[in-house]
Amino acid sequence: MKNKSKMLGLLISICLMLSVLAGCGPASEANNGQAGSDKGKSYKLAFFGPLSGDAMQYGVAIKNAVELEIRKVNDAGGINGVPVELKVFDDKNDPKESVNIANKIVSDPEILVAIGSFTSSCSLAAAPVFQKNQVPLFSPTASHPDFPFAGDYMFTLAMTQKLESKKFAEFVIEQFGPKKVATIYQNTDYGVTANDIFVNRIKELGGTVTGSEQFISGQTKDYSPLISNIKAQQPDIFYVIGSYSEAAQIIQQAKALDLKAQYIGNGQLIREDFLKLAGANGEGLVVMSSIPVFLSSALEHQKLSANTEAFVNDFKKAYQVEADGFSAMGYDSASLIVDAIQKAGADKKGIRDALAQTKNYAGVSGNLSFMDTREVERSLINYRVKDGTFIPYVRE
Amino acid sequence: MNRILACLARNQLLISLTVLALALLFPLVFPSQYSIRMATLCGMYIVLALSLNLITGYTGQVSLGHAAFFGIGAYTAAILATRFGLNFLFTFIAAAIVAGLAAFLLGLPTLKLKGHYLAMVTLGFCEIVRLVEMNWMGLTRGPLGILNIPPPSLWGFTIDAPIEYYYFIVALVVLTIKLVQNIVDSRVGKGLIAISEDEIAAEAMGINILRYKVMVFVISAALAGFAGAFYAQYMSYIDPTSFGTDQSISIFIMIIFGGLASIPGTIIGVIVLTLLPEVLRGLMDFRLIIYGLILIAMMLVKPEGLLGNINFTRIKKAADGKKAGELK
Amino acid sequence: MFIQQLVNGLTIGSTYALVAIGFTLIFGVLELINFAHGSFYMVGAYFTLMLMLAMGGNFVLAFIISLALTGALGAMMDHFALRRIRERRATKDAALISTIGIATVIDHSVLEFFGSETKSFPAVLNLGKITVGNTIISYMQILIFAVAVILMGLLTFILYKTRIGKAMRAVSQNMDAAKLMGINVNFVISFTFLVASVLAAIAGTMVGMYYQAIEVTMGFAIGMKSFAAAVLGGISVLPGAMLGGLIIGVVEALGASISSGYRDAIAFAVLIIVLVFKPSGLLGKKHNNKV
Repeated sequence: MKNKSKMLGLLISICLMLSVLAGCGPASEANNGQAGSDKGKSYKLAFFGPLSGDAMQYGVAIKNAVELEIRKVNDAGGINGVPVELKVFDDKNDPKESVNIANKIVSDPEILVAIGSFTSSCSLAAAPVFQKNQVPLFSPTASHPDFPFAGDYMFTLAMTQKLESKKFAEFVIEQFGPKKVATIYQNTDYGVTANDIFVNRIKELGGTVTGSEQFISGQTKDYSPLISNIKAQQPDIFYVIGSYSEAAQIIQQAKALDLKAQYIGNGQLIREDFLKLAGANGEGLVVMSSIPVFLSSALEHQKLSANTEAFVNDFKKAYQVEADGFSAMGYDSASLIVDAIQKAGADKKGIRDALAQTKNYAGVSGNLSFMDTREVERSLINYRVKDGTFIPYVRE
Repeated sequence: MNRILACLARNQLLISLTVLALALLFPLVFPSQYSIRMATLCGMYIVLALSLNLITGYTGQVSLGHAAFFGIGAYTAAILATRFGLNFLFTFIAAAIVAGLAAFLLGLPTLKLKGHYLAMVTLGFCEIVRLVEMNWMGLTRGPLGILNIPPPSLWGFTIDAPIEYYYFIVALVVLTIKLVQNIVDSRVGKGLIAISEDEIAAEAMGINILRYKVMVFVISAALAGFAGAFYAQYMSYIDPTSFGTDQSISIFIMIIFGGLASIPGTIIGVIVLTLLPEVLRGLMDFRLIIYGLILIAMMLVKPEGLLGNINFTRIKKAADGKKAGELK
Repeated sequence: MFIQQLVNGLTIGSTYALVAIGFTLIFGVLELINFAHGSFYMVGAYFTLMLMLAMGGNFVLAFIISLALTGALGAMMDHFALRRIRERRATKDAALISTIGIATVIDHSVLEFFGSETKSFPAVLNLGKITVGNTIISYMQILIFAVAVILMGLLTFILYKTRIGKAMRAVSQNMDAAKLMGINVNFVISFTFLVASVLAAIAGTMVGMYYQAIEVTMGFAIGMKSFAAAVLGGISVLPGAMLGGLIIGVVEALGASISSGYRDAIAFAVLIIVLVFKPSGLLGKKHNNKV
């Protein structure tokens, strides 16, 4: 008899274990979902990006922009009267997490399109899951050249690095002549690809590359050994590829070690925070970007189109912070998807086809046309740092 | 409590079979792609944690570099599968061999080191391996990672659907448990436990400590390499970020949380700690703070881990003895 | 160029040494790898910066309050999270996991409060630099080095010339015997955590001043390096932590001039090789196993 009660205890403990396992099932998903809207009475979209961790400021900005557009659509009565619903996931800028989330998203057949992620690594890792399940994955920012080739359900609003870094190199040679160039880059998918393509193009155009040094994000804040190496090569041009905080520190340490060269950087640096971190050391830096910029200091010298200006104002009103280029791309992603749903309804393949046909769309981040590879081409916008602000670049 | 434990100990086979049956039924009860995926990852971490438990739990050598062997296995399998199109039987075995070889080369000179010195060496080794993965562009494609790793296939049958991967990892877990159990129950296992309890006494008893340690270190690494091969072919994409020290530390946390030198403890520890962040996902930013608090609280309440102090073999013997006494 | 790299390396090394001294102190007394030490280093720097901003740039006051706060946090960590584990005579691994938990809580709380952006740290001391031939040395680099040496000296003094230092050494040798001798073991250990955390806050603030920037992740990488420095020098030997830190810094800088990608790998490889030939670190005493 005793044995029976023991077996009961055993069964209970097994059930407990199982219920822990079940915690990951669809039941817990329901808690996250927004209330309201009966089943089938809304168009469901998903967003995923880094909402915590080291890239969180970017992820949050993009998420805010996407939500801004969706709120606007819903306030105007939704798409043909049907509201849009957004499910938000945090991938912590970790490719493993993004695959988990991708699986979560495709497990819900009602989700029509996924917007995400911010970095190419996370987007690339998630891509096969979406491709296999034929769910369109729309990344506002993934610029890795392989991303569009992960499948025909992949879209990106960034100019991929193959085009971007080539244009950067062409700009450098055009402005400064075939000089000696040294680079320092972040050992990430972005940094490595950007550096490779840039360096090759410089060489093709007759410039010399004296050396490329690399660093690993988060591993160290001291770049002086790398800068000492570069200083010994006596370059004319010093190209820094890294996040704005890394670049600010590299430039500061390079100035401290008296590295005399024309410093250049890319679009990631166009932020007020960069100017604050770099301080006086930033003076004279030339920044090349394929991403639009709405910094108030830069805007004093530049005119925006009417819809872009409206976006910048709305964003500021909604979130009390300046919009940046990435959030504009997030906003455009949402608008394009809404348009596609309007055309195709709740049909993933139809939405994909409608998206792929986007031509000459006047987005807030520029004029958008998808190429055959479902990426866009953008023109460069260049700046120089002067008196602690970004001003449009003119040849001196 | 003790009675339940005794009952559990006596019915080990029955319980194992029940758990196995539940594991086999799981994807039928929770068929969503997401829950199958989480269960598959749990399986993979169980293999990893059990293998770490061999060296850290049973032998008492703190290793903070387990992710290195996991990574070596993953890269070996990924490179062999993408470059040479090798069959998964081959990639898996090669992954285990290469990881084991790395452990041999690292372990032979360093396993004589004590406690925290060994912890530092393994931690440093893990960093070195990660940096090689990041920098050896020609072999590993560095931070770009290896894409499109083909799924395992044999004689025309390809493991492709999530549920097939799940059963595949269940099979691997069962094999690993059997292997670990056999090692622990063998003469070697007794030697290992002797080492973990008192090295000097063990040496006096004629146990060749270094040989034992290296042997178990190699086996442990080979199993981690196996898990790595599975990971590579399952994810179809790997990059160095998955094999850093943070990964080593999280595997280490799993085995301490579940209880050192306990197979059921390890399994429960892995399941709880893998699912915890998922369950807390709704809390967004706060979930890692809560995760940290749970670790602290757990160590206050049960510093020996969930099933740390429970030795089922001993309980079983005690229970059997009592029963035998009653019969007389 | 070589001399410049040497200077670079010594500066990096002094920052490691600064952190490693506090790390070694806790290790010496408790034989515990304190994974939260890097977090205290980070949180100390954040306290200083935030207080300074809140008080309109009064650096000295902000710095002092920050040291007090971080020290108190360290003592609290021992009191609430570690004491019970110690009293239950659990394995060292349990305490180690607890410090990982504490590090997670601190890091993510700071992230929650102050955001993930790198914060610019105002240049409080603008000391300038000297140029000798091709080599550039800033006075701030010299100051960091000097502070590391002074702190090491001060700590050695405390350990060997004061009552509490004597108690700390007694606890580190044998906790039970120390208790029998009438030493308040828990107080001594909490005090050790307090001192170690103050040291971490000094290090965090100094490094923040030197690089003029602080961020949430600053503690993790340096935590690992200072662990390496402490082990290389011979755990629980204070001059060893200093020496280990400097060596790792110099090897790293020279390694970076060979291959920037492998700079840390070279540093760790040197560490492993040294340990193979000298299993108890450079200055560590040979540990005699007791039966």
